[in-house]
Amino acid sequence: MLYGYMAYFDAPEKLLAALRALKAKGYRRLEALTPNPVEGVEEVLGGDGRIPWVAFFLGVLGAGLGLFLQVYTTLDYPHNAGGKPLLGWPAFIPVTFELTILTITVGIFLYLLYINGLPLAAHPAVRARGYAEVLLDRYGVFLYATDPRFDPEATRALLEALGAEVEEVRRD
Amino acid sequence: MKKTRGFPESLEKELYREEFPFGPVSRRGFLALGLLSLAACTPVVRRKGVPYVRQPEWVVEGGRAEFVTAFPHAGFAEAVRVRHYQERPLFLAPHEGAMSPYPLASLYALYDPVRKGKAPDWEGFFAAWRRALGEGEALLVLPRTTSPRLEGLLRRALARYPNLRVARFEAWSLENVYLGAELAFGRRAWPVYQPERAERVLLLDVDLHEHPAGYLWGGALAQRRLPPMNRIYAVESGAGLLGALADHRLALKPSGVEAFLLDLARALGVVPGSPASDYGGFLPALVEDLRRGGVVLPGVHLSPGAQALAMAVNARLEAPVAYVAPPEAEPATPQAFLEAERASRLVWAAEGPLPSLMGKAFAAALSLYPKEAPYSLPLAHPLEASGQHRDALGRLWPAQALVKPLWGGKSLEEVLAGLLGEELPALSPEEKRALAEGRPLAEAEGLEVALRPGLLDRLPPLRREAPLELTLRPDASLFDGRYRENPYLQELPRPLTRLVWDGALLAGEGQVEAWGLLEGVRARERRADPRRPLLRVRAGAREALLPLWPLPLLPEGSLVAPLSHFFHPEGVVFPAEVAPTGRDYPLVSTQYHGYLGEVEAVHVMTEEEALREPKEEKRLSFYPPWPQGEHAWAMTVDLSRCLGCGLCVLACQVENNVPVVGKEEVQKGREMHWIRLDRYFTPEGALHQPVMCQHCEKAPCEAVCPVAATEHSDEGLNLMVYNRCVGTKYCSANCPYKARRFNFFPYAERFIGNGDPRKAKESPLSLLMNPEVTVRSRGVMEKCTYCVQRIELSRAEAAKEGRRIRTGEVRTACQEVCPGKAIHFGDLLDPEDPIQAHRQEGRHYVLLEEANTWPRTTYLAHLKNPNPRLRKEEAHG
Amino acid sequence: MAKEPHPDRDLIQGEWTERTLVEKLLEPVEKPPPRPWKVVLAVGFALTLAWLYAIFVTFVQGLGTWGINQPVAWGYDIVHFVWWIGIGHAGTLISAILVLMRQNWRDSLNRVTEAMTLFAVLCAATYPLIHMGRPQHFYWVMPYPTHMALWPQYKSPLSWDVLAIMTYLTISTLFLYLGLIPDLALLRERSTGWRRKLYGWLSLGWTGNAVHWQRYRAVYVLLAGLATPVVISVHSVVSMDFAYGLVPGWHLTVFPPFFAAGAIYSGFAMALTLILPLRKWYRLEGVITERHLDWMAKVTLASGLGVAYIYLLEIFIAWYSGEPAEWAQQLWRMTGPYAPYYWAMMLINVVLLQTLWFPRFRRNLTWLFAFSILANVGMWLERFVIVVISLSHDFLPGNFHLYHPTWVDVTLFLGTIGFFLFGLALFIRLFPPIAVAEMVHLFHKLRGH
Repeated sequence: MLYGYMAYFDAPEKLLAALRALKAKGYRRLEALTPNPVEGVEEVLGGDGRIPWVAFFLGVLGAGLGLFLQVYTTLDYPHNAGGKPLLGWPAFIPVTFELTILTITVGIFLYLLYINGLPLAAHPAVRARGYAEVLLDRYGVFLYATDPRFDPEATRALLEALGAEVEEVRRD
Repeated sequence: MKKTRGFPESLEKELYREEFPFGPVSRRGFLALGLLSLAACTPVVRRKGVPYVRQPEWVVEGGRAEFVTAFPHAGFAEAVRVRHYQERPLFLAPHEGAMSPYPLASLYALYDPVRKGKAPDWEGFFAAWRRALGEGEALLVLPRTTSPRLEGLLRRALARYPNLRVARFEAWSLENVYLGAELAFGRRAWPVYQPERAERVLLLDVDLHEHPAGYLWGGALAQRRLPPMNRIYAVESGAGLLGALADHRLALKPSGVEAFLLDLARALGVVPGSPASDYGGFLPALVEDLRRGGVVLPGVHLSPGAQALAMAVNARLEAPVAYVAPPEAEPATPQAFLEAERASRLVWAAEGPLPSLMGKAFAAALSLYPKEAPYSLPLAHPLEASGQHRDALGRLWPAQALVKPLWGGKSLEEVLAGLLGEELPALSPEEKRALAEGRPLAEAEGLEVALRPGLLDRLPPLRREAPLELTLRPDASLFDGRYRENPYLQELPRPLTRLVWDGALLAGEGQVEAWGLLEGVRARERRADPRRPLLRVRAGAREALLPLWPLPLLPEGSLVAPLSHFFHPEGVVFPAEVAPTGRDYPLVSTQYHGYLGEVEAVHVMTEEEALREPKEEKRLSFYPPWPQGEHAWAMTVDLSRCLGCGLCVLACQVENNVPVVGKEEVQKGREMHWIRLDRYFTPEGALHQPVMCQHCEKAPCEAVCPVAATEHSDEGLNLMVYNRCVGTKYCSANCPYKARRFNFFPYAERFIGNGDPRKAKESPLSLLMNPEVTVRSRGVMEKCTYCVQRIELSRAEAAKEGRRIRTGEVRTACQEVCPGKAIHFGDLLDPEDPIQAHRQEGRHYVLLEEANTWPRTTYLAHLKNPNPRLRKEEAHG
Repeated sequence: MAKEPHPDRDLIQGEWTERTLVEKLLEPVEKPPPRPWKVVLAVGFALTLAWLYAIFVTFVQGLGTWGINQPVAWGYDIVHFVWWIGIGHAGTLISAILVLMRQNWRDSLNRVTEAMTLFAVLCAATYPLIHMGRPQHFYWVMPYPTHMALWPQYKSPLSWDVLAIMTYLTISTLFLYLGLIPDLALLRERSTGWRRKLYGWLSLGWTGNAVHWQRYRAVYVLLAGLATPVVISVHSVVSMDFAYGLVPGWHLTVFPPFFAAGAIYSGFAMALTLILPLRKWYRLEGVITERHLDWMAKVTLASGLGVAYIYLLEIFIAWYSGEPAEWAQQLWRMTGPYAPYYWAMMLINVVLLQTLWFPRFRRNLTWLFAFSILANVGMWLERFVIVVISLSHDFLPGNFHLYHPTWVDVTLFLGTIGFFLFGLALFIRLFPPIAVAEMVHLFHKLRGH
């Protein structure tokens, strides 16, 4: 069963050009696989502006948690520790700050995993024989065979025209 | 859980049910989980309690009662009030005036399992004794006794057994005093001084524990250290607490002290002649001052001639001294030791140094602790038997037993009665009445004495000078060695040296430098190396190995060694020779830094300065104050009345179950005493300052505990919650007074188990622990609590009776026992409490005010009343 | 048209292609380890066992087996706690702050320093646990509904410490892990058998998807931005354990920047101590060039100068304050029985530090290595001076007392060093000590691709 085509490009510019071309041709189910983040991918494949907002809200949540924790625990069993006032806001800063950072850190990490769909047990692109090179020095595009525009010969011809080395990825 | 156990189990389930967010869990289940994790921790003690079958009407089971009794120390009675709780004595406080530390510390000996020897076979012993008395001369050596009843029994025994000979032994003898009186007045007498009535006091080589009335004098002198003040002069060869308190001090060798006394007598015209020296202006100023109403208080070890001179001087000065009949029937002397060594049949019942009991035809030791002897039988602890004793003022006090003898001991009276085959009678109705009313059984028998003329002609020679003069003085804690088994006293830091667990040869710094040893000692002190040079001290054909401890206040040529570590049967003052051995011995002191430095911890003022307005305490805070509770507990410590005796330290230890940690731990700096008595040397003497938790209103320790184990109550107490403490020790680091103590090891279990924490469960020393106070285990911080158990007790009593806590009803342990009444604990919100007046005095100050901790424990400055004549000139010594 | 050569071109020296570069960088993982690595592993393991034994003794017998006493209630335990936390800061600084400052030279250093941070913080975190008198109740510092209805006291710096260390550990671990994911994917593809399974699990199935990369990069930079204030705040919170206290020598508001500067100084010194041998044993001179070492030495110098300045400032403040106890403390440090410690600290951190001004010294790798070790010794001495010497001489002379460590104290310290080395040795055997994906990225940038 054919999973799809793995197209290898030598340079990120070629990859971007190919992606634009493929998008223009109407291909939707494709993934670009690169060894490093490539500038310009967002314009072509669509970016993700959610992360900063999620981080912000996580921060507010963390700060709120920190303050709530300290204020609630102090008021629940109030006692005189050193003659200081019960709700001394300078003393509450460190814990609030740290909890904010902690919440954002853990939250955004888990969010990243979530939106990336990780952990991922299997991916058809990994089955490509040349897949390892995509993590090294080549830039790849994986076209799913389930894409409506997918046609074995036409797609292959298109990719080769764009300058890629094409490999079939099959399930054996 | 089994349902078969029935009532107790279900009761526990109901009483100890706790709600958790995830459902009710019985405490037992929770504990079971917890116990699994308590792998290496202390074992849980489980005891069975059995109530009375028929309870006497007046008994509140385990309830509190207080009894008066006379507690003898070295033969002299000290009237004490014994606090009885849960059927046993747990605390002692002085009944009138003051007491020494020995009765209080002896509570340990009451429950000490070391006292348990073989099961005492009294009948067998009496039979053997009678047999020995039938065979030949048998010597009975008694300690100093002042009991008329005992003397009566002795007379009957001497009459019944012609072979019985009696000798009296005391390493620290009072014989010279009696001989002195005989020289001065022609008859033996015992002087009773009232130093509180004198305007000027001259102390001649005497300290608190060296005279039977020493602590009473301490209390009396302390009373007069407030305006209008007396003036105290001290001339001494050692370094004592009373001498350190003096306004002017002259350090002389023992022979020099006696020569000084002779010069003083000459200057006053008591004996003809003029003084050989004026001691750098000291003597004329002293003479002038003494004429204003002075008294001379001589030490008991001065030679008989010096004693006579002192009595003559007192007569000339019309000093407040009365004379009573000698309390001892025969003076107890150290020479009895030689007799005992020579005797072939011996019953040794004295205290302190022990002669060899081997190789005799008949030898028996009667003592508190089992000894190496063919017959070793336990004597009863003073709280275990009744008796009669005279106090240092000559009054006869009754003593009652407060607990059945725990180890089968008998008192000396019972022993003699047993020898005679009699039963000792119960307390007489007069004795019972006296005990109930807390008064003596009989007043002192006063003597009329008059100074016989021509004293100088019959005066025996005074002490001769020698290059090195050694005085063997009783150790402040161990006395003559009789308290060697008492860890409370062993670990009580000695006055001025702050040594624990050992006896040392004390020499002045000049003397040590002359021996070439000072630099080495100072270098070791700097590194906190405890080793000190071990010296061989030879005095009067006996010698001992003693480690050296330099003490700033001693004059050159004068050495002091403790009687507990060097005993000589022929006396206590000798010319000495000292030779190095090349070896070292570790000496542990609790305080190495002896000088105040830049921080003005102890304020010293003169009388005029004291009468000025007090400086306003500087308090800085951005924050509003916390609400006040019903009381505002506070404490003032009057440094003018503090003698530095350490009774407060001991009382706190006994009351609050503070453990003794042993020499090695003290060397590491881990002594557990809640009160630390700081001692700072001054050119003239030393200053003392008891430092305990100051219960700061802005406590730096409370602010830093991560688990809220130390909090402030609304009544002003800094509370220590033992069961919440995880032991991060931040509070200890943050306390500027370093008043907190940490249990680095399971000290309490080790203490109760006599060194082995695993034996704590079965040890009778757990009876010594005050049931009102938690016994802390390993890893927990502790500190002075203002005796919160006593506060709560008073609160409960007041609540039961529907009233408020009365003024002065709550007395902390340290307050109760202080001879000088230096510590005062009270309620700031109580208008009748004198504590407010204390805080308005000109002497009032806060320790470490710059730390801005707002402590509730505050201090009253030490007052000195120097002689203006001597202030201008350089005082000698 | 040829582009201008990148100014940082010499950060990767030698003739490389991506493939040869990656081969080189994965050598520590894929090739048999050099002999010195085995020695380090063995020594580390042995010391770790000794460490575990010392912990066992502490738990069973009690804190009395240490040298702490009244008044020095904090001894080697807290000295080493602060020492280790300080060391950890370099990793976070290199990883996070230098990213934000767009300093390319951090790319070959960040992995090993992040690993160093992780193990340093782990070593540090053991101390608060074992120094408790009742460690079985350590969880009482966490806020949970207890049977006493009590909560932790949040105005205490130790409670802040709990959160700070937890946050720092979490963010360091996550940051390290995040950076590792692409490398783990690469390793996954290059290995077989149990290794493939291990790397497969750990890489979470990373495929190199470009969109994922964008999001990854955003989160990475965000975490870097978050880690930066954490670096400052964590050591500030640790410094407030002392600054919050009244003890003369502790009670200074300059402590947070003082400790932060000291942390960066000691962290970079430890990084140099680790990187110089690593570079030599694995022949990584091509990617850890002399320029890298030069930069590290410069940062060490800069932070060390901050530390040295504050030493002198402390003396001035103590005198200027007019507080008798503060000035007495400074004199005690300079002339008391612990004076050798104080002067050794001054010698290293003030005098010998100045050699780093001169390129001749900075470039002499032997001196750099020796100084890096000395700098950490100097920082150990500084923590000793602050913790122990201050406590031994505070306000009232009646309670002054010296501190003498016991074999347990020393073994615990050597044991943490052992654990540190052992952990690092294992780490670089399993994971590439130089961030492969980042180096390849840098390679592209520098070659103008």
